[in-house]
Amino acid sequence: MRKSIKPISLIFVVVATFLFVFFSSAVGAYDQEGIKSMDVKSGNLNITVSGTTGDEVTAVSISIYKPDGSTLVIMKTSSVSDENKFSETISLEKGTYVVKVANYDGGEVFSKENVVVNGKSKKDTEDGPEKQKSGNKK
Amino acid sequence: MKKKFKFITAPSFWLFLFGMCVCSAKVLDIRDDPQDPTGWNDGAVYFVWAEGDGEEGNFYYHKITNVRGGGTVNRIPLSTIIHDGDDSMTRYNISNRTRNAHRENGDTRKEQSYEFVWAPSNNGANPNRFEDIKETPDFKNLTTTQKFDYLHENDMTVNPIGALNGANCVSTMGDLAFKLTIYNDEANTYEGLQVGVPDDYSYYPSFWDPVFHWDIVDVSETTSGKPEQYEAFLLERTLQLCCAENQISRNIVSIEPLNVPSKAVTIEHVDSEGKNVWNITYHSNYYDEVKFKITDSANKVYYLVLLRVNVRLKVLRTDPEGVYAAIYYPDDMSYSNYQLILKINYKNGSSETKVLQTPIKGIEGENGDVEDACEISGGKNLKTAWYKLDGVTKGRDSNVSNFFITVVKDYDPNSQHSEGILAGSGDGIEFKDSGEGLKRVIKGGEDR
Repeated sequence: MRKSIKPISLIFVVVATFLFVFFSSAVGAYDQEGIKSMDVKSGNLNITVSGTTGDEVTAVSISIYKPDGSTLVIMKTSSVSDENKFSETISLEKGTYVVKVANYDGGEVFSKENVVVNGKSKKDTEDGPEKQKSGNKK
Repeated sequence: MKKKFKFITAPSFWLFLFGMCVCSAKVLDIRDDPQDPTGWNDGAVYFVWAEGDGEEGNFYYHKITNVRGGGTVNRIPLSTIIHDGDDSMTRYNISNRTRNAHRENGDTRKEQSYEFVWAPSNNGANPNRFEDIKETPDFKNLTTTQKFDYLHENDMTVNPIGALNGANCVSTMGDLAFKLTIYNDEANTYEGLQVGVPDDYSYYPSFWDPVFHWDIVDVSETTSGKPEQYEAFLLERTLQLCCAENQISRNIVSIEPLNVPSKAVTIEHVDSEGKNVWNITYHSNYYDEVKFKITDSANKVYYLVLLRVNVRLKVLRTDPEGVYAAIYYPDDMSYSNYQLILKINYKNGSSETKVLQTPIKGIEGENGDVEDACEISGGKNLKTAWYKLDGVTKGRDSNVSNFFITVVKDYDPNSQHSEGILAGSGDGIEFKDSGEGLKRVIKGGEDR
C-alpha cells in the first residue's frame, strides 16, 4: 500500500529547509572577512570615521571624495586594534563628502554619502573679533 | 630550522653550488683586484679625529692596516685606535662625535670630529696622499678645522656611503671598496644585531649594493625614546634578527613589538644548532615603521625601529629641478597596476591631494643610462617605475612644507572593490626638506 505524504511532514521539511538556509547565511555573514561596519560622525571641521572588521584585517584605508564620489579629497590609512576596531579623525573644510572604507590589503568598499561637515574655521574665528574691533573703531 | 639534505641529489643543488662558486669568485675579485676603481689596494686606511685641548680639539691620526676589501666587515677594536704621530698615546674617545669648527670669516659650527682618510691616493688622478702630507710643516701648521677642510677639499676623505653608526661603533662602507667598523671593545658594550631574512632574499632592490649592503646595527645604549633604526625592504614579509657574530655577548630572550596591535606582527623564536635567531613576520605593508623592544639574557633592553621601504626620491639629470618618486614592485606586475596618491602640505597652510596615474617614460637605471620605458628592472624579482611629483618643489624658496606618498593598487574610485595598497601608512610616506635636502621623515616608531 502506497503511503501518502502528510501535509504536516511537508510543512516540517519546508520550515527545516528555510531555517537551514537562513542560519547558514547568517553564519556566513558572521564569518565574512573584511569591513563589518562603519560609522561617520561630523565634528567641527572634521569627521570621525570608525568601524569594526574581521579578525584578519590589520589596517584600513579611508578615502574622502567630493559629492561626485570620484574626486579624491584625502586618503588616510589607519590601524585596526586587537578588538577589530578602527577610528580616525580627519580634518576637512566645510562641505558635503562621500566617505569610503576598505581593507588596506583590498576587499569590498563600504561607503557613506552626503556626509556634511560644518563648523568655524580658524580664519572665521579670527575674523569675528577683528571685524568687531574694526566696528568699534568706527 | 629543518635541513633539506634531499636537495643534494637534485639538479638544483649543482646549480646552487655553481652559483655559490660564481658569487665567491666575484667577492674575491673585488678584494684582490689591483685595478679596483677606487685605487684602494694596499690594505690601509687612516682614521683621523679631533680631541682634547683647544676649542676645536687637537688633530690626531691612526693608520689601520691589513684592511680587507669587498664585503667582509673589518672589525677594529677601539683600544687600538691610538695616535701615531707622537708618544702621547692619545686614544680616540668614541663618544666624541662633534667638534667646534672655526672658520676665518668668524663662522663657528658643530661638525663631525672624525673621518676615514685614504692612505694612498684614492684614484690615479689625485696625487695627494695623507701618508705623505701628514707630517709636512705646511699641513702641521694648519688649525684642526683647516686640516679637516684640506682633507675634504683634496678628496682624501672616504665616503662612508650609508654605513650605520651606533653609540659604540663608528663604521664606513669605504666608498664601496671595503667595510670597516671601529667598535668599543673595552666596556663590551658594542651590541651588534644582524638583520636579514630566513633563507634567501625574495626581493633585493637595486638601490642596495649586494656586496656593501650593511646588515649590522649597533643597538647599545638605545632607549625607547632614542631607538636605533634599520632600513629593510617593504615587500620582504619576514625579517630575521640575530646576534651579530662576535658582537652581542648574551642571547636574546625576547622581542616585543611596541607600538602596534598584536595581530600586526608575528614573532617566532628559532633555536637551531645553538644559533639563536628570531623571525619577524609582518601581516600588512601598513606596518612600515615598527619599534621593537629586545631583551637579552642579562635583562638588558635595547630598542630598534625596523623601517620598511620601497619608495625612493629621485632626480633626473635631464630635469634637475623636478622631484620624482621611484616605486619598487614585484616583477610579475606592471606599472599600470600602481598609482600614487600625493598629498602636499604648503607653507601657507593649505594642502592638496593628487592622483598620479602613470609614471614617466625615460627612467635612469642604476648605471645612469636612460631607458625609453615606463618601467625597468628594479633588482631581484622587482621592477621600478618613476612618477613625477607635480607640485613638489625643493630648496629654500619652495612653497612646500612636506608631502606624503601612498602607493595604491589599480586605483578606481568608482569600483565597489579595492585592490588594496602597496605602501604608505597614515597620510602616507612623509618627505620633508629640513635644510639637508628632501628626506623621508622617520617618526621613530610612533604608536599605531
